[in-house]
Amino acid sequence: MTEQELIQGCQKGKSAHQRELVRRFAPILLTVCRRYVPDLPTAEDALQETFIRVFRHISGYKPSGSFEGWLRRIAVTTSLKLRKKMRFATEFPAEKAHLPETVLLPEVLPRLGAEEILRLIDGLPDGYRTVFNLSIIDGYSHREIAGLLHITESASRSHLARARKQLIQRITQQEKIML
Amino acid sequence: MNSHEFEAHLRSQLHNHATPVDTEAVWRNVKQKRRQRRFVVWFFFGVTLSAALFGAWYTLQLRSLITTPGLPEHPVAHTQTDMLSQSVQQAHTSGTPRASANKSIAFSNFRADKQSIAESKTHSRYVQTDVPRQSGNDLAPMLPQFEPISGYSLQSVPLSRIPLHQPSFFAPERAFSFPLTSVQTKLDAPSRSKQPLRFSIALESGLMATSRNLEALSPVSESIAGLRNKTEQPLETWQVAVLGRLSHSSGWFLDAGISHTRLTERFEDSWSSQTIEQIPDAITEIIIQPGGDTTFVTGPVDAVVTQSWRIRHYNTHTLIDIPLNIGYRFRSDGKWSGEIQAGAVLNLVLNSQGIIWESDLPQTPIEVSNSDSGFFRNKIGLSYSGALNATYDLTEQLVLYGGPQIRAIPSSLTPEANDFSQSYTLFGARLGCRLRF
Repeated sequence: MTEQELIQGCQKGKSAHQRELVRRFAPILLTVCRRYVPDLPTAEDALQETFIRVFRHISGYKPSGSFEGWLRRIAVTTSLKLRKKMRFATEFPAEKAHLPETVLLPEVLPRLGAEEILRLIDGLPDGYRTVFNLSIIDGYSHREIAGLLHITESASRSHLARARKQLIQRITQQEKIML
Repeated sequence: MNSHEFEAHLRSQLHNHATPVDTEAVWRNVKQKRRQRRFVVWFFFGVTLSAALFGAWYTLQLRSLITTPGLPEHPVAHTQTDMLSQSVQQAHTSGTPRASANKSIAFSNFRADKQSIAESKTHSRYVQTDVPRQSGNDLAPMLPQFEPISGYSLQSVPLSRIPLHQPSFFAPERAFSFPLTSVQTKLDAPSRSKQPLRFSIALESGLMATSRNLEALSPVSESIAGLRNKTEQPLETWQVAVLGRLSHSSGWFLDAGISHTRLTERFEDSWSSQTIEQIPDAITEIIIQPGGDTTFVTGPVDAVVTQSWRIRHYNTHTLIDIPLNIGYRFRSDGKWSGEIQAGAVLNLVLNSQGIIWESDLPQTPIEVSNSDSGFFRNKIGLSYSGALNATYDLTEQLVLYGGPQIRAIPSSLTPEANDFSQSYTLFGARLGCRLRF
């Protein structure tokens, strides 16, 4: 079944197509949800809610961009909404003293797998982690992030810079421990 | 390693990373959850519809029972007159002193003509206490004729009163309050005019607070909706209307006319952007020779230019509408009275102008109006309004009124194609004056 047929079937409300859509995209979308909510059970709830919203809005889907990109965006906004509903406030740590610049050695990166990166990103303060995920992994602009998280654009930029530094520091520290 | 390589690596690792999940279980849960939500929606829809139908049926039922004196077939009237006849006949045939009946009972609330009730309007509506008692002879025309029995004298003994209204909720003779006591209201209220229908014209103005509901129709536009909610703040709404009114002597009235409404919003935002410009002949190096000679080396230099903007603009939505309201006036003996009304407002024209952030994230917000950009609709169809009024009669012809009002505009001001729903609720107060003809 091609993606086009899948979309058309879902738009007509065909159960078999909806099932196929879940089968095809659930694993990828669960990774997306995991990056924005605190734990796996909440991520599963977000995934379920994502599919409910997808089926509700798919009739209005216009094939102008990537379908997977459309699904990812729904997963992101649904996860953020769920987190807000759970009163899991986005915390931005107070400005700390200037963090020293850390240089990441090129040979370190290939050793980092997806699960390892996810674990390291999870260790970031919540606000930094959300901005980092939105900007670097999901490609949102700072203006869009500002709209989603109700912060200013400049705050979004500064959180991203700090998240980047902290992440590099964590990777470097981990490498030192391993060595 | 620069940060771009670092980020590209993270993106490539995470973007297509799949977490193992039991997709069948996810599908089952999704299906079940959707079914549950659909049930809840239909359940509430069913309950609301049933309540509305029951309410309509019950109102119609009561209306058919409480009408004008022309209700000779009313079962209570029959019961009462039957009881009366029975009592009087019983008194007569049993040889006991003849009974006399209170006039209110004899004529019953339903059989009394307008005049007789109007005469007694200073007394209780349902039980008369100070009407002179009538002897049995006064009832003679209504009762079968009989010969007096010798040895017995006529005495006036009141019968126990028959209650004209009972506490039961469904009893047809229940004492109804507004708006169903049409008979009593009509007869008791001092009539300002003998005309059953009267026309008046009103000029009114209102000031309302604006509550806006802007949301994305699909999840992909939610970030822009969030941005717009942050940068656009609804302010006040002004309204002016000219309304004609056709009022019935029963208290019901119908309003129609034309109104002009202006909603104001403030757009305010500040942002900055950075560009890199190359200065071709900038000083890149200064060499100071031991002898004191200085050499300037020039060359191209990249300069970061930061531009900042701050915009404040007042966006407006102007609506020309035809309001159509139905209402009821609570009359009083004095100059003050109250009104309640509700109705629909048909929009003829919507004219919107302003500055907003558009969905495709340009570098600067765009200026929009429904005449050129198509970002707003040209008309929005129906909206709904309700109001309470306190009215004061300055003269027989001139009335001042004012009170709270609410208007709900559920239709979106933006077309669906823009992926937003922008609806409003307005609540505030109005003042007006009405000229009766």
